[in-house]
Amino acid sequence: MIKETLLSAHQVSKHFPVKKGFFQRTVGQVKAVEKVDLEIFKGETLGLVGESGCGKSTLGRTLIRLYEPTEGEITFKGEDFLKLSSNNLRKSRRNIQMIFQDPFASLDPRMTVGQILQQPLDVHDIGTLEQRKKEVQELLTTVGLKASHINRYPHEFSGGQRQRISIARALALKPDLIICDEPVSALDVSIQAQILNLLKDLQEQRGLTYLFISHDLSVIEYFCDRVAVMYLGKIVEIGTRDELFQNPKHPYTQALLQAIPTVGEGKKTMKKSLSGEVPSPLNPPTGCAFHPRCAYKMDRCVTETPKLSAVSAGSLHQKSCFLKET
Amino acid sequence: MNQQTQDQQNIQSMEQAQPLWKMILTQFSEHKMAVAGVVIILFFILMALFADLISYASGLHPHRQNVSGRYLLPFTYSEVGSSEKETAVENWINQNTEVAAQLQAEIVGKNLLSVSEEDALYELALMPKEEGQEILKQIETVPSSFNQMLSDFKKFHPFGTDEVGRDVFIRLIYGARVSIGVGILSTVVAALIGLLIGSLAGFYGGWIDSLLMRLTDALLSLPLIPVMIVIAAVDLQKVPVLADFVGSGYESIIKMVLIICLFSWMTVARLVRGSILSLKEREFILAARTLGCQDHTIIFRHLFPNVVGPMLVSLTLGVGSSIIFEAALSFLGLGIMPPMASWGNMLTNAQEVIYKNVWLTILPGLMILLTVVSFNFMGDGLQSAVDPKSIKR
Amino acid sequence: MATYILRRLIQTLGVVILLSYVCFYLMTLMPGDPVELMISSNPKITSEDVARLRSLYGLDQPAYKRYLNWVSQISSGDLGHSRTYRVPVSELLGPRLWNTFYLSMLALTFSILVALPIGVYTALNPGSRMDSIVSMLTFFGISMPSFLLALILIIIFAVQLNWLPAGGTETIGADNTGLAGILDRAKYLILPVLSLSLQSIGSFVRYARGSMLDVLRQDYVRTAKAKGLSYHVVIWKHAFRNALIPIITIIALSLSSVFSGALLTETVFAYQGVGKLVYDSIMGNDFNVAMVSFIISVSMVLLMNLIADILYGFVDPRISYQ
Repeated sequence: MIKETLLSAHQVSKHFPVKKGFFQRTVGQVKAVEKVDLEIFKGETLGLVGESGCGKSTLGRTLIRLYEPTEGEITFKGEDFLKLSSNNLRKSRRNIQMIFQDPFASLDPRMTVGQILQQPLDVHDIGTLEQRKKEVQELLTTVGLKASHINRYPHEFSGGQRQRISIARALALKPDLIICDEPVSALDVSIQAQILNLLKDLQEQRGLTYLFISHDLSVIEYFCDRVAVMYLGKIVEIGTRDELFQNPKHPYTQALLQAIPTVGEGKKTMKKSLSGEVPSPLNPPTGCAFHPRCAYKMDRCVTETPKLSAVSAGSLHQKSCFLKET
Repeated sequence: MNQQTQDQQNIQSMEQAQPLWKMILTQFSEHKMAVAGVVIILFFILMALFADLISYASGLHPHRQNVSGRYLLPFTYSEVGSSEKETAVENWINQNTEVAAQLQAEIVGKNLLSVSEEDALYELALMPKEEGQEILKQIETVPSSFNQMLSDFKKFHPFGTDEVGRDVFIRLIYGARVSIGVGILSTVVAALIGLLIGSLAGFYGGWIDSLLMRLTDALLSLPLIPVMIVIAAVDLQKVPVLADFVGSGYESIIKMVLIICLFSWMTVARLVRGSILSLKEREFILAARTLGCQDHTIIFRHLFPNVVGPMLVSLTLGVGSSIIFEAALSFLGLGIMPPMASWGNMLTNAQEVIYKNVWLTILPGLMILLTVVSFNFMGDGLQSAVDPKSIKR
Repeated sequence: MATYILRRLIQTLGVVILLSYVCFYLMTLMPGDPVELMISSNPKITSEDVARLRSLYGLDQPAYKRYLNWVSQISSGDLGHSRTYRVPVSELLGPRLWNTFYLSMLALTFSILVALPIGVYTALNPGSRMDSIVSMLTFFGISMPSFLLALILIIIFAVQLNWLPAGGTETIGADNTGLAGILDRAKYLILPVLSLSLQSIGSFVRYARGSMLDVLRQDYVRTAKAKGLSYHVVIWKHAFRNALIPIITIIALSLSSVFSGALLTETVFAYQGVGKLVYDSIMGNDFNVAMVSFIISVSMVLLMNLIADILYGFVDPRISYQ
């Protein structure tokens, strides 16, 4: 089966300058995203996982140009996404939408649900006013809310309901790709499952593609087809869910998987648990960024930077590590 | 079909759309003291607007002095002295020679007064008002200007008179004009300055932000009253740009507004900057951008409505403190200059006049206190009303 | 920490220098410089005399040159002479500063002593009748200009009841040593302190109540209660201590407004403090006194702000100075 590439990123970096003092001199760069290659295939769910602060949210935001990338190329549906003028970018954004983490911050407190959902249709001038109103009601029922909620304000809803509104807003423009930035992290576990199931149903009905950013490996395992693991701004391993969860190749992935708490199996040994702190992205370690915490550290890890390469010839399972086999 | 009826029901049960301002109003009206504050403020503003009308209807004039009616208590009458009466009658006769001669002839002719014709009108003016009225009733046509002059000789003062015999009631009304006017004007101008500086600092960040915020902090740390006094003591004639206003009658008002503005924009600037900085990174702004909203949509639809509430609150509270500043400076003799009345300058000689007539201090003081309290209550009410989380159904 | 204090000191010094120049310049814009006063008192003066006098007083030079002259004169320790009082400025200033210091410190202490218990009490009984009465009163307290309260207090206690003096600093000619002297001073301080305190009482009560309410909702207070600690230990040891941190900030911040308000209070009560000196010298064109007393009072406020900031760091362990 040949997969159609929807979005591809090539050597994308995003650095934030660190400014200090009265004259705002730039004293350093936070390399939040560093030379990332990524492909998202049509119809799949790609999970992006990593500890907090590893740059996964920044990568998500850079991919839809909420942050302008410092360098690199982004191609969306065969079109160079970075070359778009601001006007064309606005039009093109119809096809990529985003769901944010905090359901309390992502909805304007001064707009009713109806206004929030109608805004994307207004902005892109879709349909007549009548049609827009009808569409808003349909969106609400699609995400499991009542059409009568249309005149309520966001604060009158629970966290889960608010996230449904966010999803409805993302759906309004019928996008191809939705970037879900930790969409369930702020929710109760019982609500998480409901929202995840809703997202799955919507994907089946509408043929959506998701980039699903999360720090929660169990959610990723439940929800994603392929998984990319990020560490300090770089992707260290990428593969299908089964490859990655059954046969992790990168020491960091292995350590992450070890750290998932398991119930009932009685395995209390944690062979290769993570030790030490995540280094500051302002001053990342040389060579492989993971080497200070790695159990298999070799001399070349300190000096050379490993490249993301296939685990076995022709495989899409890739890792960036010098280890032959672990 | 079932689906369709259900949709119908859904739409029927849909709650009535209510615009945001209406909800804020409902919320605001639940704060009893705030509503009382608004009523008092509106009453004072109406009073100030119709000051000329009130002055005309009551025959009281804010600048008219009367040496024989000083320090009168509330609810008393004043009568001008006999020498002033004689001068007034003389002036009137000189201005209306023919009418005066007719009137004099009629009075003496009907034998209403047993004096010579020349003295008749003087005699009439000097006698008690009631007796004079009796005599005038028997005369066919009394010129209205003469009647007007006679009624000016005796006045009713609901709030008494001050140290030069001016009516306190009408001066309080004209004072409302100046005090509330200066308060509102300087607050609005200060808010605009604050809005400009705060948004510059918030949007551009970097060294502009550092510079403007250092300035703001420095001004906030100063002891305001001494600094204001130094500036208020400046002679406008020596300031090139402002020298034009000297003698326009409004120079002390302009000076007051400028000084108060200079020292009250900082709160708004900080508020606006803070809101912009926090809103810029809020996810709903990012969400609007991913929806393809243009900058002006984001600014006017999302940023502005979220800043305007807190700004309104600080504006309302600002009017209260501006009125206090004006009152304090005028009280010290550095603010609004007499003869123009302001509540503050009506208190200028308070330390001496309290021994003669305490009302001269209590009444303007009460007006200041009432207005400031009203604005503060209104601000408090607005504060709870514009908070979206407080909106109830 | 030391570098932080040093940096703040330098900043404060910068503000004072800038402000002194602005003030100097503004004084040149005030009506009545010495020569103008001489002209008005001596009608026979000729225009040559005026020019000669102007150059004698240095008034023909630009403002910045005169400012530099003044600065060099000040830094050599000569604060100049007062024109109104006919004494050196340095002699005038000392007792005035003390008087203002007594007044503002007494007012501040009084407001804290009154406001804290009320604030804590209302926070422990939110929604009670007492709470709503207090909140109403604090509103009036905040809205009441101090000079107005001063006038009302004079009307009640000096004019109507004749219990206390309407103004002044001490009884002239009375024995002002020992206990009698202190009591005499105290009599003159009661009304000024009362009128200066009301506004800060109002705001302190509101902040104390708010801060205490906040703290009482915190988990560590619940934990303390759950541990079975006595009510008093929970309230005073856990809650009140933490509630104090924001209250201290407000108190520190209000130092400058109390000092600034003291000027008005002193003027109303004819209390011989530095605030009244600033006002009188400006109104009386007493240039040397006005400059020095203004700069000293401003520097004192800025210094108090600085001290408050530093103290704040000691109270709140979360604040660190880089």
